[in-house]
Amino acid sequence: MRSAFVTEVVRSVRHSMGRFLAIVAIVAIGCGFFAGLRMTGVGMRKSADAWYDGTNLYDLELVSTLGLTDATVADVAETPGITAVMPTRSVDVMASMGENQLACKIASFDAEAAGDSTFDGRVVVGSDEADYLNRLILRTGRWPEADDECVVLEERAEHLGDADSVHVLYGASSLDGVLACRDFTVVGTVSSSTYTASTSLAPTTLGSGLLQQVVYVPDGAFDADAPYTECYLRVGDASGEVTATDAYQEEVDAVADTLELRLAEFADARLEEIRSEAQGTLDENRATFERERADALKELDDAKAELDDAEAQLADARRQLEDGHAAYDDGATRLSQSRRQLQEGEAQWESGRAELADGRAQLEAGERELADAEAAFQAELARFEEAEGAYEQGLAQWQAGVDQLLGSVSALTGGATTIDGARSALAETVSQLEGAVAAGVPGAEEQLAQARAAQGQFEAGAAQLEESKGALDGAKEELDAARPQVEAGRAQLDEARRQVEESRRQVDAAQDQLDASRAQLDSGWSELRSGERQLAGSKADLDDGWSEYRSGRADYEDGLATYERERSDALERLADAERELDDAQAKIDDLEGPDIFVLDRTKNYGAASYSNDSERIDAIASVFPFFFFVVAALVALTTMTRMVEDERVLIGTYKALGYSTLKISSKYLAYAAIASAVGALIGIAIMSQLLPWVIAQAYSIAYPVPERPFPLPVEIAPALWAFALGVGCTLAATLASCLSSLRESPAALMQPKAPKVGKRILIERVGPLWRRFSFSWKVTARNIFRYKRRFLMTVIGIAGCTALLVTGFGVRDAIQDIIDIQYGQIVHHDVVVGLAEGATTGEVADVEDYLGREAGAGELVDADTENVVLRDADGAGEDRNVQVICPEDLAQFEGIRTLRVRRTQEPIPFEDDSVILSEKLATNLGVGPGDEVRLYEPDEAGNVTSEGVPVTVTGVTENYLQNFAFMGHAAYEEAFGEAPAFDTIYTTMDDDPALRTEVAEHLQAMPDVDTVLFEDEMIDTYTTMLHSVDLVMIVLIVSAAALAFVVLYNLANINISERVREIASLKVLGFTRNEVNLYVFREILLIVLMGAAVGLVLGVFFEGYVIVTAEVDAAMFGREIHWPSYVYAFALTMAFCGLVLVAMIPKLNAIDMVESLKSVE
Amino acid sequence: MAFIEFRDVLKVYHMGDVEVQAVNGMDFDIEEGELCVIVGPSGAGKTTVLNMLGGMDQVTAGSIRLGDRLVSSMDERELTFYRRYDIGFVFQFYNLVANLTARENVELASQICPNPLPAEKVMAQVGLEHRMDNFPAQLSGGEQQRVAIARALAKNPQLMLCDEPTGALDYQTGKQILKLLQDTCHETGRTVAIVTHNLAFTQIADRVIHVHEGRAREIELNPHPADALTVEW
Repeated sequence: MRSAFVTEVVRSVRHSMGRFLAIVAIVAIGCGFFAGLRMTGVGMRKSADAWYDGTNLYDLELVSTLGLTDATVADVAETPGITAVMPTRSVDVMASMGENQLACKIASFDAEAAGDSTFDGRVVVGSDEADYLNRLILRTGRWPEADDECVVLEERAEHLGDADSVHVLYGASSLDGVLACRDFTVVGTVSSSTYTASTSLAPTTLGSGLLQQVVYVPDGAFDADAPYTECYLRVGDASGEVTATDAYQEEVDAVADTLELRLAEFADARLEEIRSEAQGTLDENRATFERERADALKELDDAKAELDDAEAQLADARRQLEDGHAAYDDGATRLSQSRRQLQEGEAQWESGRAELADGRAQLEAGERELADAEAAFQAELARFEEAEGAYEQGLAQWQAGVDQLLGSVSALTGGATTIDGARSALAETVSQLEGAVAAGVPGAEEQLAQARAAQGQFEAGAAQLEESKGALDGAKEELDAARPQVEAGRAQLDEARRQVEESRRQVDAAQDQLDASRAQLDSGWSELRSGERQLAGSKADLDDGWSEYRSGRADYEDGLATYERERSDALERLADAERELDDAQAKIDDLEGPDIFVLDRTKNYGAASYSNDSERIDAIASVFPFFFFVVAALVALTTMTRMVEDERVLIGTYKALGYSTLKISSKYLAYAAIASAVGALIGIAIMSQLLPWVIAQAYSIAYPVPERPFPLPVEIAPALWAFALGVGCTLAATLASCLSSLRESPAALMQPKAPKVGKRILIERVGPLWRRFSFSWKVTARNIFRYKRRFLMTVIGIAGCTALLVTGFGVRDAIQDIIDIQYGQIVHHDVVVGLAEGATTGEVADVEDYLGREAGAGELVDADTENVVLRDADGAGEDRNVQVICPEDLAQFEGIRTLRVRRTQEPIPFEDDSVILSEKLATNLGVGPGDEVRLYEPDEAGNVTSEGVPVTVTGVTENYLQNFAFMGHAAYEEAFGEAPAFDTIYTTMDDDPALRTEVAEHLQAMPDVDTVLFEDEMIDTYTTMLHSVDLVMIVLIVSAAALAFVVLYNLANINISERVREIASLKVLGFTRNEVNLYVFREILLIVLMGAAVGLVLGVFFEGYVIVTAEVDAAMFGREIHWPSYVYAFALTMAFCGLVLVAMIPKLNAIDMVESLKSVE
Repeated sequence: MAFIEFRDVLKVYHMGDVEVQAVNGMDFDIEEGELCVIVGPSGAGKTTVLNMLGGMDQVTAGSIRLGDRLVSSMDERELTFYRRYDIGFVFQFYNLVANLTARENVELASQICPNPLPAEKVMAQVGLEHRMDNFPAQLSGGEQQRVAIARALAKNPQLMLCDEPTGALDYQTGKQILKLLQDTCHETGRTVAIVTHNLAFTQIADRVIHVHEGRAREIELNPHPADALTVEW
């Protein structure tokens, strides 16, 4: 009977493989995640514990601000519970290593024991020396054999480059009497469990505030007299416990408490030692001081006497010089008198000469006038003589004409000599001839004609001649009138000539007089000049005397001033020295014992942060798997409900046959138990290996904790918990679904279960909307709300899938933001050059000059940077290591760093009294603008020993890496009690690697350059971190996909098998394949959409939780999930859904229409 | 040529290695507007006839014709549209979509047809105008079958195929459904084929096809069919 039942169970598994696998898968995912994540935290702690135990890492550390005595170390060793003691010396220094200058810790270690130690290749370092603690694992090279040889941390060896030497530059405190060696040869690299976090070794006051390398040197490298700085202890009873667990902490605390009681005693012992040493030195110094003071006072008195002598001599010389000066003044007066006389004579001479020149000018004018008048007269005379000539000539011509005329008629006139005679002759002739004519003398007529013609011609000529005779008579008259004028002109000219001659004689006489007085004056001048030369000679003598006197005087004054200054200096120095001595005495008298601390591993930077990180995983482990279990329970519930409903008739038959309810339900419980147990085993088996490995990979960048070998041990407790929860959830869900069916009577069970009544849903009340729905949408809408469990299962499952994806992509965004926002929007400088404490402005200027001129740097911003510790206003709470930045020019500072509120992106005003904290720091301190925090300047060892100063926060700025406090000058001065010294330079530079190397080398060669930090080194660190997150992403995407597949496959499977009849009917009604597919899938798609929407919201919370839980103090991950991440998450979810649906299509197609004809079962 | 013609139809099912001849040379005609009852004992092949006539299954050999269309040569896609546009199917178990109201169930069919009858009108025709907004679970069996008939009618099909339409109903209700089918046939002139094992139905039919061992053994014409309400069984 029993075997039949088992057979039945086995068969039902085989026949419903899909259903079975759905439960297996979802339980596997849930249990796997739960167990895997739980084991990760434990595993991390165990890995660390194995490493710590293997390397004999200290449990307690005794640190003293003033060192420890040998007696104390011996005392401590006697303390019950302590099984091993190792005192060491260490000092924080800046050292150059290859091209880099790094903040290093130089730490002594037992090189001999190390040389003899053995290493098992993984974590165990064996040594016969029980007191050899913090055993180093040699990674490359060899152990140091000489005092100037060292080994350095392998994980930070990248700074070393090809170089193999370490040169110590300066220390956080004086290195005199501490380090015997300043140059070391690197002979090997090691791993040290003391520094579990390779990226943040430990805080320091040097450099950027974090140690960058640890240099292990043999004891001999330290001065033999240097005190031990710390003492490492091992608590035997604690070695059996896993580090960081309560049990471990209890054992360690017990011993620590014992030690704490004795700290005052240790401190006193060390105080006595220091005091006696100091008093000896002081007494010696005081004796020296007294001797030197006496010497100094005597020297001063001697100098004073010499000075007084010199003063008397100077007074004598002055008197002599003043006498000489009076004599010189007399001579000068005389000379100036005669000069005045000469100058007067000269003036007279000048006026005489001017007069003479006037006279001569007049004479010359007279001469010129005379010459003009003579010229005018000569012209007049010439004209007169010309007219006279012309008249004479005209007269001659007239006479010639008369002669000619008379000649022409002479034949007729018979030689008359005058015109009138001629005329009358002619007339007579004519009248003769007329008579002749009248007489008729032959030929008379002709003669008459001729005579008449000649008479006519003669008359014409006579008329002409008479006319010209008239003109000539006119001219003659004129000439006669002009002649007396010409004569008068000649007389005038002669008079003028005589006057000119007279005045010339006068002028010549005046010239002679003037020449005589010139000679007199010239002789007077030469006399004056010789007198003056004499006077000038005596003046030069006097001046020489004076300048000699003055230089003598100045020498004296200088001497006196020097004396006074030196005297006061000397006195001051003496007073200072005396005060110093008194102070030193007071100090010795007031000497306080050292602060001695007992530190356990929680105070170890690396161990604590590693243990915190492992606890962060625990925190995440306590949230995520819960979610998977809910989905697992819902999947089991729907699946098993469906199974029970499918087998109603069978159950009824069993019942009718007389099987007990328990027996029947045990079939389903067995089914569920097998499925969930298989799932749990598979899930635990896979995830207990995969998750711890993946997460260890992600953390391995930050922590060089040796990985554990595969297969990783399965932690029993989490595995059992996971198994119990997975199987328990499923069984509970199964029982719930069975019982409701099993309560029904066999008869009722034989009947088909009344189909779920169709119900109106809320959306139908919205008439207009509902009427627009097609029937298929109506069916979809009603179906979605008909099966609430399924709906819930799918929505939660899909929401989980989407949320996981959003979380994954969001975490990626968050880390990407560190790079993109921090270095894209907030930090604008590429390089920080830190100068040594106390660098002068000149040295800063030198560096800036180089940066600006040769390195092609952009704007240079000077600032003061200080590494401090902040605590909350009460001075309680955790120490927060903070870098204070106080820029010289607040406005300029905006160019290299944006200060803004993250949520609003509003710029934060940076004023003189501003104190702006970086966001993560403010969150950790729990303060906002207006709140108070307490600022401490740590001592050289990085410990808080002062009372601290209250500081009021004025703003909180967006920042993703490191903790900063940006302070204005006033705020800085108030906090530090001194003005800021701007010895750090921020600037921008091309990202050409060759240039940067060159710049770094050059800068580090410059005196006083302390650190050169290129910001892109940080970018590289976080880019590597991104890659490790990608691995986590793959795990997340695969689990999200698995979640989606299981849930959707289950939903689709149930939906189809439950509606075979409905689907067949639709086919008969003539629905096409696509219409049928859509009819079923629309509903699934809609639920998936809702699930995805919920998931997007849920994802925001998941992501926020993961980010806040996973981030470390010094970093703030981005707080915004970028929209593409939502898109990817959504798209991937939809893709998963699409895949499941496509896989379901053949199943739908296979539904036979004949199903619709079958009777309802 | 008759409205529906079955000619030498052969249907062979393969059940594993066994060949089953469900229909073996089926030959009959149905005229347009007739109420035809296909009757025979279980296993006679009447459901196979129904499947093939309804376009849910293909013939192995022979031909089936409806009007001018050769159903036997249609491929799967053509058959889908044949069912969609030409056939109104009434199931024994109504096969209403539980999640749709009566009216919506009718619309479910009418929405995929080119010339549907208004849902309200067919609902009135089957006498359920007052129950249109009820869900199937809120209706009695008879009412559900009326909705199913209305759903088939609304498609305005060439042929209404009914598979044991009264099989899940009590006697009185069954008669009323039969009456409804008969009235539908006679009043709208629609061809109705009823597949049943109940010989009593033959009285109301215009044409009775007796199916036996995969063949139409006898076809009788009934010039004066009885009123469905008077039939007794």
